Amino acid sequence: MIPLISLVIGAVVAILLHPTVPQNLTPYVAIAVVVAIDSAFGGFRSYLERTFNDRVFVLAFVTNAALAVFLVWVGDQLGVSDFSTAIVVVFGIRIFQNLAAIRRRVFGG
Amino acid sequence: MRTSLFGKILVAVVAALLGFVLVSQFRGQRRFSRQLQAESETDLARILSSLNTEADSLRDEIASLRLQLQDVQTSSRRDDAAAKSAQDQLMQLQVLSGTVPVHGPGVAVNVDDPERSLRYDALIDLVQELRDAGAEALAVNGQRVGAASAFSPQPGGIALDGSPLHAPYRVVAIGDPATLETGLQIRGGAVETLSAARGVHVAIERLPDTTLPALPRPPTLRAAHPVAS
Repeated sequence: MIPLISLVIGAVVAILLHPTVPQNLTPYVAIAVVVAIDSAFGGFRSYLERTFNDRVFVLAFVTNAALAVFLVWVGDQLGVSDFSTAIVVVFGIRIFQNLAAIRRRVFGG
Repeated sequence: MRTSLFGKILVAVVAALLGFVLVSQFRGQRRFSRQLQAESETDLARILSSLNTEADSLRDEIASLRLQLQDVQTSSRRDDAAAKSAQDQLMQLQVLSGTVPVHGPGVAVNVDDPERSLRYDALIDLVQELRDAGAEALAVNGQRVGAASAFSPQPGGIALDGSPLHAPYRVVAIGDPATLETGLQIRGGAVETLSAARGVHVAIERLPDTTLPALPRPPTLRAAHPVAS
């Protein structure tokens, strides 16, 4: 419950403060957001499976986001600008897998 | 399943961060690209041409505003110059009419008249002589002589603007000291005339910087009115 409330608080703060992401950083932030969403679903899944560990969750959240951003940056430097697509695909699949696991857990399917 | 307080806070912070970044990215993305991506090619071309037109008209506006700015600056400079010359003129007139205190180099003429043999016209001559020699401001016994000041006879002495003057008279003039002194000592001039009177002794003293007071009350004009130009 607390994480959900915090999420809403963070969103409200962002709405109130009108932060602007610099144009040249948007691709990195976008990837970080996708990865973070995956981590959030993963955390919720492990919570339902009663294997939730806050240290692991936070660590996974931070390292996954950082690694994703780093990889996209490296891809840009190497001229492999589609690297972000690969990351989006991988994490998109993981999001759906997590969602499926959550669904099974909630509805017992 | 571990649930320490620290862990809860950490998770909460991370969740808040996620919400924050999510929303800011949403907004940024929406602002920059969504509008344009939705447009068709012809619409984009139209938008581009209208933006170009707008930029052109803005550039025109900049040019015309620059011109306007220049005009205003020129006219304000002209106004400044006019105001400054008016200010200078006002200052000169104030000095000459005696309505402001003044200071500067000059001379003092000390006229000792123990036997009261001088009449008021002797002082008029002296003042006139000093003015001829270029005196810009004058005072007698510490009383300023203005444009409308007058010496007049008075029982037992001389009066300046109605207030009595007592010997010895000290006439202070502001102007170039050398010129003033030369003017005074011309053969047949004021000093010589004064000295000729019985018992009168005249001494001239150069002053590097002296201060003269303003007239006690500014002259009031009752009859003379300027002609409207």
